[in-house]
This record gives sequence, structure tokens and C-alpha cells, in this order.
Amino acid sequence: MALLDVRASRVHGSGLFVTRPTAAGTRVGEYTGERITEAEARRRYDHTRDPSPQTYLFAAGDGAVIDGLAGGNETRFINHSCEPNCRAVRQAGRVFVEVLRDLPAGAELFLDYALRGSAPATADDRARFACRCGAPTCRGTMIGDTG
Amino acid sequence: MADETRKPTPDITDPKKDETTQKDLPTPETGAKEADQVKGGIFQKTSMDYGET
Repeated sequence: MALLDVRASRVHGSGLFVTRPTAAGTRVGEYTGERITEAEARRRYDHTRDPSPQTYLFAAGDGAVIDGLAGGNETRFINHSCEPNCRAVRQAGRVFVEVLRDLPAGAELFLDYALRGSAPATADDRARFACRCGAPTCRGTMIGDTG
Repeated sequence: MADETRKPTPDITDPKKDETTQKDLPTPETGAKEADQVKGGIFQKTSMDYGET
């Protein structure tokens, strides 16, 4: 049986789950998709005008962006949490998802998206990217401190 | 009742006004190019950086 399974999330839409116990430090996958420039990403998307935006863009460094909607794998379904059980690790221009603590079978995977905008985030941006994780330390938005 | 069939006559008597307006308008070619390059603002997920290994 595959380690990862996409199914309905209690947080938002579809989520990504592990099907068996998974040890801390395990790399469960690579965030894949088409590698594009920021200019191309801005040509494709406009998150500032969408009332309930979703982003599948991942900063890959040096101005490169991975568009998970274009040829991406199941890691694009990982939802956001302000208290995540995974972290995204950028290595040699690639992005890997690594488990932060031991997880039981059936656990949903979460990343802190720490979203960063092409311009400083406004109060309106923070509200539109509202966080629904329910964690005690939830900051109320998926936008990061430097967003 | 207002006469809805009457429309205001455009002011074409002031050549200075026309000159300023034309100067501020981008050429069709420039405008199309900019719109194609930048549609709007984006938000990207970010990550820890382990550096290039």
C-alpha cells in the first residue's frame, strides 16, 4: 500500500494522509510541478483579486516558483496548519516534505505555508487567506510573518 | 420628467485638453505587453532553506 493517500480533510477540502505509522524525519515526498518564473506565476494567477484564493505555488529559490497545479503530485494536497507536523525543506532548488514527529497511521499531513506575497500583505490579504487549523497558537492567517 | 434622449455634447473646442490626454495614454502595443507580463499579485508557500547541497 502506498504511504500517502488523498482524501477529505476535516480542515479544508482534500488533504494528504499517511496510511501507516511514519517516523519523524521521514521524507514523504517532493513538492513537484512546473518550474516557472515569478513573472509567469503572476501571469497565470492573481491571488489579490480572488475572494477565496488557493495557492499551489511554492518558492524554490532564486526567483523560481514550482506550480503544483501544473503536473504536480499529491503533496499539493497538504493543508496548512499553524502547528504543522511536517516541514518543507528546500535543497538544491527542490522542495521536500519531511515529517517533524512520529505520526500514527491515518494522520493528516500539515505544513505551515508561511505564505509570502509579491507585495507586502494587506489586512485584506490576511483575511482572504484565513487559517482554519484551530490550533491554540493559530495566527488566523496562512500568510507568514514576513508575508 | 428628465429628457433621456438628450446627450451632452463632447468638448472638442480645447486643443490643449486633447494633447494632454493623448500624452498620458500608453500605446496599444506597450499596454498589451505589460498586461500580459503581470496579471496581478501572487502568494507563494515558503520553506526552510538547507542550502545547496
